[in-house]
Amino acid sequence: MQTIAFIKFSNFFKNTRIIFAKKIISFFGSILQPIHNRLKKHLLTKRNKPAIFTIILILLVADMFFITGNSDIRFFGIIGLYAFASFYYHLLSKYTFILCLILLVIMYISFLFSGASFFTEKTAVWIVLFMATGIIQQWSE
Amino acid sequence: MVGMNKNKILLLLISLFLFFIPFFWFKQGELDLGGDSSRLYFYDPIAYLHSQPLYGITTSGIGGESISYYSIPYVLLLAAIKSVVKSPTIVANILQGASLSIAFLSVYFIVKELVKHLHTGKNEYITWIATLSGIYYVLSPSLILGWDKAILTHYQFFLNPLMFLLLLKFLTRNNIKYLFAALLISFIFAANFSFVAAPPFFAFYPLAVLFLLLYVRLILKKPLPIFKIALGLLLFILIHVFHLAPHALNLLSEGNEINTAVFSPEAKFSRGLSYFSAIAPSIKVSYSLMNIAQMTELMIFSFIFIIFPVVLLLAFIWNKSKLYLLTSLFFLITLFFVTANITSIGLSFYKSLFSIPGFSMFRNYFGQWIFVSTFFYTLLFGQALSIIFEKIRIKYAFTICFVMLTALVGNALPFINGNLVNKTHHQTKNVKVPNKIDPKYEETLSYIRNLPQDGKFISFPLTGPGYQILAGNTGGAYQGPSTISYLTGKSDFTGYDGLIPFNDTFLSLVQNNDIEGINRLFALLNIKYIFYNSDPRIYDNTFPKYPYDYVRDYMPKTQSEYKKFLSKLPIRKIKTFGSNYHIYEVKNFLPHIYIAENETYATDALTPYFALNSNEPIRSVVFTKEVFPPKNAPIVLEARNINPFNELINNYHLHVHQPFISKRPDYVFYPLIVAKERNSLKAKINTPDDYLDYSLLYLSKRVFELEKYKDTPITHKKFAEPKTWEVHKWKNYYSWESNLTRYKSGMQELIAWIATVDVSDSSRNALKIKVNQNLSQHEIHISRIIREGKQSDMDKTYLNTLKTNIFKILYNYLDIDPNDTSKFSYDLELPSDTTGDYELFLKSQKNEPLNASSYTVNIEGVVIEPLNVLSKNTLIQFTNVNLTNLNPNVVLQYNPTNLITDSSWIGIGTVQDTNNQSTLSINNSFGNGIYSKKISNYKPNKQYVVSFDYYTEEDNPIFQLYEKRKDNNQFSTASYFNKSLSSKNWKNHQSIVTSAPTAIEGYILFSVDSDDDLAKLHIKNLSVVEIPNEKLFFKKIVSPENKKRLPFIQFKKLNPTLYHIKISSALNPYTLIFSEAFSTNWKLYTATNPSSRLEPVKASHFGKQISEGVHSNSFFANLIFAKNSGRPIAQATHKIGNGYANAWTISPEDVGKKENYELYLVYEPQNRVFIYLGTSVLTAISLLIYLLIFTKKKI
Repeated sequence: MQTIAFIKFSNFFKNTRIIFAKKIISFFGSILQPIHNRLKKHLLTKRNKPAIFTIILILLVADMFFITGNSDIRFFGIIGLYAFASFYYHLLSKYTFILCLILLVIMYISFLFSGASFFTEKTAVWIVLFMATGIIQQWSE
Repeated sequence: MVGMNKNKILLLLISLFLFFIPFFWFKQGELDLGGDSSRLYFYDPIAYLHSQPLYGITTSGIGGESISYYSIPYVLLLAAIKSVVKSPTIVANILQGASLSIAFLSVYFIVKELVKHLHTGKNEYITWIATLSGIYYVLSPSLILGWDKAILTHYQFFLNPLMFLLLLKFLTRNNIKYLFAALLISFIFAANFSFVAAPPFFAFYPLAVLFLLLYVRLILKKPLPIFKIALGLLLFILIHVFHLAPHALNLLSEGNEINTAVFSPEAKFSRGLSYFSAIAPSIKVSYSLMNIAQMTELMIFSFIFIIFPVVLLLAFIWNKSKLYLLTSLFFLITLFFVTANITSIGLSFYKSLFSIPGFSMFRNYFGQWIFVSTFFYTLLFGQALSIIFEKIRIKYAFTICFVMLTALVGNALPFINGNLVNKTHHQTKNVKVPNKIDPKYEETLSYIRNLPQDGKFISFPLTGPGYQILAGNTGGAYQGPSTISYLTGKSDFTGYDGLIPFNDTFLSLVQNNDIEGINRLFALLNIKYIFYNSDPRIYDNTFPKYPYDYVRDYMPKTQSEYKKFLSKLPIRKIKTFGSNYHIYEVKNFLPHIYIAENETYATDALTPYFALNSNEPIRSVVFTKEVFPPKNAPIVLEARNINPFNELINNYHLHVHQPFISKRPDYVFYPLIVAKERNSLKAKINTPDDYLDYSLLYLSKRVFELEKYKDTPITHKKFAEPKTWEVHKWKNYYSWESNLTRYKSGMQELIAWIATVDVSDSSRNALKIKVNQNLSQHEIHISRIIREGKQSDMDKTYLNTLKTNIFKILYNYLDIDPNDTSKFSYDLELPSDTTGDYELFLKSQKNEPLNASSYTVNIEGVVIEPLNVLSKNTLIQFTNVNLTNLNPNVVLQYNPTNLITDSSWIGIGTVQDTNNQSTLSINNSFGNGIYSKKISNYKPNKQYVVSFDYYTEEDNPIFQLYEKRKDNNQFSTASYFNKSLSSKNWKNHQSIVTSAPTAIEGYILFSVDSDDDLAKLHIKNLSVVEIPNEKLFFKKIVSPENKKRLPFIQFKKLNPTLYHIKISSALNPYTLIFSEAFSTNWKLYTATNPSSRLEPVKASHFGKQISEGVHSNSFFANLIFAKNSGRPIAQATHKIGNGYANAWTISPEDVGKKENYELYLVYEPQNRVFIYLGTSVLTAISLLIYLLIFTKKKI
């Protein structure tokens, strides 16, 4: 009896949780949907794809070459933007890995001249982050 | 080779080449047997087995629990190989060579298996790819290091790929024989699956097994053999129960060393996280991407290693396989664990893992994860090659292979030719590590093994970390744990660390040439023999520093001095081997097991003999405060010095933080930093020392921010801290007013906390001294920042006024009173029922003669005078005192000598001396605006208090204590602090300093801070006094008791964990002492089947009251014990005696009022080993039989 009561209770709890979660999703969905639609209509158009990726690359280059110091906000901000844009525009993973290769060349040049300097290490971290993104992209392709 | 195809021939040739690499590292007969835990098992496996892994206790120093059963199968394997090949060098070479070739072959077959499923294209490449991968693994730059220190767990080098291969075969072919083979191999190399190998085990196996399961389910889409996996797990536990069970029991018993190592906060954070944080900045992500060795010098070939990540990335571009992606995910995980430095969040996450019990085992994370990381790198590399070779032409493929092979072999040349392992000892005059044991020393070991008495050894020359140094025949030297302990089964004290808890006492006795004391300590530690190695190649100039280090400062400095030192000891030489190895016997020996004639209760075990030079016979025992003393028992108590100066050890209070500043206060998320600081302080509120240190660190940040950001604006407005939601005001943090106001409020909070924190008054006073010191340093620092700043003169005046006001408020708020330098409180706690008449002693802490006329003791208002006021001794006795209170108020009154009265002022300018008052006019116009006074009789390692009253005119003078030092005939100088003196009225100042160990002269010094300054200082009552830190002892006066008749005992050692004791004529209760590290696992059992025959006696002591039988070392003796033992006795009276040993009080009732009886003294966990070992051996035999039958059937 106790077991049945427990199952009933847990089912009730489970169902309530699901209903609650659905409500939250639909609530936020109702807020986000118009924003999403506007973004899709005005910003995330196919025509803007090269521009968006160029901006991301500029941000990346700026962080690597012009900003001293490491910042997780920049690391995850830029990689997050890149991941979002890649998935949105169905960018093939091979481009991510080509970018990794370019970063690897930059890292190697820096390594040759300055060893494991701050810049080399920063580039290495970028490689790891882009590699992780590329792997996830390729898995989903 | 007939019938073999060329691929197989190549494979065989490479395997043979790798196998024979170690054979060319050293000359014939040479071997590196040393290291932290040594590799003496190669030298004499059977002797090693009997001395170490067979028993759960260690034979080093005072003994103690130490489980190393895991190496039993491996050492037996070595013994089997050695019985065939004889030479220990060849045994080691075979094992090392096998490691290399098995690792290569395992990786070869793994890659071949994985690549097979990757594609169906150019299969002719697969052999080449697998071969190159195998070579990549064995010659990878990180894994060719560490072979010089290859301990048992280093076998993970080949075990990781071999186990992976066998499990891969088991899961893909669903054939249990591979699983059984893996289990059998794990049994032989059980050390790699034991508690000591927890870091490599937990780094590799969870990931490897997960990878294999995912590979079978996701890639091959095959079902998992769940039942067989469960059976495998069960068999794994059974086959390893012989070492896992004892370790698991220790892990679960609170207070045990292993339990503490896993669960204690110290292990998690102090040993774990601190170590991790210290090495993390040295590990480079770029190195890990190229898989080149971290923290080593780069070779020219290292630069070619860029080709490997290029290959990995190119393969991603052409990849179509999920297997490659799966492998790369595991590669990234291991890359993160081996590197840690991937983003700040990644590093913080890694640090947070240290809160998991046991994770501190990964504190040396690079060393622990590199094998796993390289393994997955290799798997990924093999697959990458396969993907690329499918896309490119054959000539390019071969070119790539050639370049890679060149990089790998070129980089590994120092490994192949032995340069990487053929090293020299640290801080020696080119003494090589590999060596060949001197045959004369082999004779010495054999002699020691057969010595009849159960006494311990001490080895000279004494080292620091407990290492023994032995010069080899071919020029090298052994540096490792005692060969006497590890190969003869006799306990040996080899170094300062091994003498714990009596190490400092021993050095002090040697330094004071206290021969009687040394003899007494030898007795206390059951030291019967001295092994002295007079070889100049192991001491003198050949080993000028490590491992003798600071020990040499106390012990004889050369071999010839050692000979003189030994000639003074009450010992006699019993044997010499060759010209270097001498064995001495101690004349006054206290046997391993004895019955105490005297019992004393003291604050610590050494007090009665070594502090008060008591003359009790050596056959005594001292019980420390854990044991409750009976009424009228002899008691010696030490009063604890509780003056605040005593807490300011090593100038702790003078330390001023120099924080690292990375974010300017106008940084957008600066309020988060503020919140983080606040939360971190909140978390430390219950640990006063941490709270104080972190508070001062954050307050220093406020000062250093002003120094780093020189353009910090001045707002001329009052600063109010913005609320969290006042985003528009967050920028306000960036101003002088903000930093000064926040400094003030932070310091006020800290001072308020000191007033209320739950600590003793003396500790509170010490905290105040520390804060006062920091205030002085911060004040002068801010003054300098203002002076050197770019602000206008008007702004500088404004800032100076602001600063002066703030510090005035803070000094007033702190309200620190000068400490009395003539009265020092002591804390004395008497156990209940111990009041009465006591003798009172004052003992010099540094063993220097004390002037009796300078001291009196005030106890509960009664002044106690020294017995002989004119005496000058290291120990002063006072008139006896009657203590009626269990916690009396004890104050040492000291008449200090002012060390500055005789010297005069030295400097340029004007000094006016009138009636104990001086007026100094200091200016820097001649470039030397300094006044100083020499402190007379300034000595090293002493605490001094400088006090004076002062007031100032015009600019603020700076006060310093300046010290001249001499170290190894090199002179240097240092000043301890800079304090700005500023007061318009008479004010008292007090500074406390502990002089450096190399100090030779001290000066007090007044100067000005800048060229333009002109200061006038009025000073009076100037004094510098030395603070005494002597010890006060109270010895209870008791009437002598009639001597009781003590029983006779005869004991014999059956093995290190089992003793057979015969007691006769036991009419009264008595205390039995066993001089081995205390453990509740040592138990006394009655013997049910006493032996009637008279045992032969090999040695007798104290007029035959204690005699020793014929000692032996039989592993199976515990089985006899199991058959003949009765019930355990005297468990309730088992206590610590002499500060470390086991002591039992046995009364006639415990043994049925018998006068003559027999006992067994046993280390109880050893009895269970037979059950565990039997289970493991039976499981292993069953698996072996199954495999043999299975293989036969197949044939």
